[in-house]
Amino acid sequence: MKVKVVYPILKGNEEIAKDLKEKFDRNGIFVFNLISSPGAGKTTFLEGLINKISKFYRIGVIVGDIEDSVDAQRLSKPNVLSVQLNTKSACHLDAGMIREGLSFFDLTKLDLLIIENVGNLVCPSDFYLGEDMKIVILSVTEGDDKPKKYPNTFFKADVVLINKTDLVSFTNFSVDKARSDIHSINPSVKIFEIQATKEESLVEFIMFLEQRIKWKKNQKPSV
Amino acid sequence: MHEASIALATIEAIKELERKEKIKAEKVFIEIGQGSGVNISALSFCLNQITEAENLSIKFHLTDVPIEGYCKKCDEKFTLKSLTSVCPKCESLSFEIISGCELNIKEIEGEEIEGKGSISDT
Ligand SMILES: Nc1nc2c(ncn2[C@@H]2O[C@H](COP(=O)(O)OP(=O)(O)OP(=O)(O)O)[C@@H](O)[C@H]2O)c(=O)[nH]1
Ligand SMILES: [Mg+2]
Ligand SMILES: [Zn+2]
Repeated sequence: MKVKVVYPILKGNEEIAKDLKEKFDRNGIFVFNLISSPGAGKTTFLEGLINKISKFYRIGVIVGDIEDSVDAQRLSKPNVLSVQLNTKSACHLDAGMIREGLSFFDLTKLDLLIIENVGNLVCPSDFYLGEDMKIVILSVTEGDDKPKKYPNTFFKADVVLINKTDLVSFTNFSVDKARSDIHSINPSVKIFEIQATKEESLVEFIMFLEQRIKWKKNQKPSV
Repeated sequence: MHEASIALATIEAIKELERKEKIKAEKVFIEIGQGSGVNISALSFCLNQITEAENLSIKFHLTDVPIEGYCKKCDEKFTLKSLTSVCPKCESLSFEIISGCELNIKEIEGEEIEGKGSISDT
């Protein structure tokens, strides 16, 4: 017997992710999924971001790591609940893991949910987690050839943060080349240049993010 | 590393299809877009590792699907090396990827289970 189908291999993940999205929408929570190579500065960026905005928003953080690490502790601040998920061998977070992670949160008391994915520029972008926005961090120490090497990841990104701009002069990284390569793959992506170790450099991004958080709040269906 | 998780997801998807279609899979045809970021030979290796470990007798046929895009402005189809949102000819943004991101099971061949047909529970 032969059965013809078109069955997406990642259908299981997609279905859970859709459920998650619905939950986030119902509660008016804005969610972003943060993706980068190991060490590009995800946690440092989130520390800065959280310092700047946690007075104004109730924030949840889910950190995925292959083995136990200190990232979740680094991100625990007043008004912020962070949860560490250990993915064991998996190189990415999938929607089922997020669903488990959510049991630690009261979704009616969140404005923003941040997902720090496992450090990896390839796999995480295949697994939709119900987020509103995918943010990819590209740090200048990785080289400006990365967009062309990993077009998939940049194709799916909504925002790219070029990080460690303080180190540009020590490398052969060209911000212009990176920008134009990213735009040639994905013209609608928003690009911000940041230095995660310096909070002031995040201001432009924060203004952009706040609009999105507010927009999402307004979309929340009234009961 | 990436292909390992895709392979695990594939086995899960096959099990789901087996239940749904009441079939015991022997041959599975899978379509992998060249723009999906999945390497066919790595995936094939991972699939075989799993079937060996789990004692499944499934043969996999993996085919790759080229990346194709369509430009509304040029009214032309292009085959591409990698994903992009810009027309390679006129450089406009009226450009859409129409194939090449697939990660799909296309066909399952095998024996029916308990005489029940596979027909329409859709
Ligand atoms: N010079 C400089 N160093 C930075 C910057 N941002 C991050 N770093 C450093 O880069 C290193 C890695 O930063 P993390 O924030 O831990 O990176 P990560 O992406 O969370 O790493 P993983 O979670 O392990 O994937 C740390 O030593 C940071 O201090 C920056 O803007 N400039
Ligand atoms: Mg980190
Ligand atoms: Zn064109």
